[in-house]
Amino acid sequence: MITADKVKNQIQSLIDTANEKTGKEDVDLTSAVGSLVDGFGGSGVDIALLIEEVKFSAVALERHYENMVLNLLNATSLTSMFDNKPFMFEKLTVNISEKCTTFQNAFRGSSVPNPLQHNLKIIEINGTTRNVITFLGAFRGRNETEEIIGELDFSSCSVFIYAFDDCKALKEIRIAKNTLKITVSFANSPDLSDLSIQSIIDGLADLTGGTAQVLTVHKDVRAKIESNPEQLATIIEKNWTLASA
Amino acid sequence: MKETIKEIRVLTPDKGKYLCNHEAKSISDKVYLGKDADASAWVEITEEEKESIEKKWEEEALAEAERE
Repeated sequence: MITADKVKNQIQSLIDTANEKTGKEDVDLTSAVGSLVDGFGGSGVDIALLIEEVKFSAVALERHYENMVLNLLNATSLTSMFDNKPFMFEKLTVNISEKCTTFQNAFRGSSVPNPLQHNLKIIEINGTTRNVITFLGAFRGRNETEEIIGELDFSSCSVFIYAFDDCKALKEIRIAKNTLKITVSFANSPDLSDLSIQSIIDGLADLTGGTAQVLTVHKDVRAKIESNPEQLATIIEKNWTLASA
Repeated sequence: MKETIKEIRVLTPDKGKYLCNHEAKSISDKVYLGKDADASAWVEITEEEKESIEKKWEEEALAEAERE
């Protein structure tokens, strides 16, 4: 059984470890964990954060990690978690719970080319996103990410602007069926796999009788959809508009 | 130009132009709509206008990010 004292002791232990590793005297947990991350380096780290709002904005995440695992089961907000900074994870695994309601700019990468950020091939999200209200800019600028693992549930999402902008290498994404209700764009993703395209179409909610929303895809993806009359018909039957850029 | 394929409407702009939906923040060279969708939301724009609109949207996005 987890008690408040036990949690407090774990946090303090984490801070102490971070301070010992880095020689710093961090006072807040986020900064302490960031220092701990920087202190370790190596092939991978596994971090559990017990706080509600997670930010690494004050941390120089410039070492190379094959896999960064963040256990954020208590997090309610991942807003600008990395604050648009470059980092060198090849794979980032984020474990969340239904407490999480904000993904605003959560995994956003820099729109300015930077060799340090061109390694994040895979983002894995474990846990449901069904209570996440905003995905504004969530994956924006992640132009090297090829795969988003985990079924994204957009049931509660009301803000989608720029969510997947500049995701130029994205191939694999899975969306929970019938959960997409508002305009969304994958305009910069020409290499979406057939399964991903089908998952996006399956993810569109049926808006019959309501206001049509817009699904924007890359021209190459539009061509694939045009060659599959059943997919095009499904999009239209659900009262979505298909556009391409 | 406007053509209808069963219940799917297809909008294409004149050569060298684009279709813009300001509300959806979408610019396209071809749009498929269902019978109930509002085609009037898509307006024809020139290449010059396209660049200007995209720049404006980019500035809005940056402003949005800075407001956090």
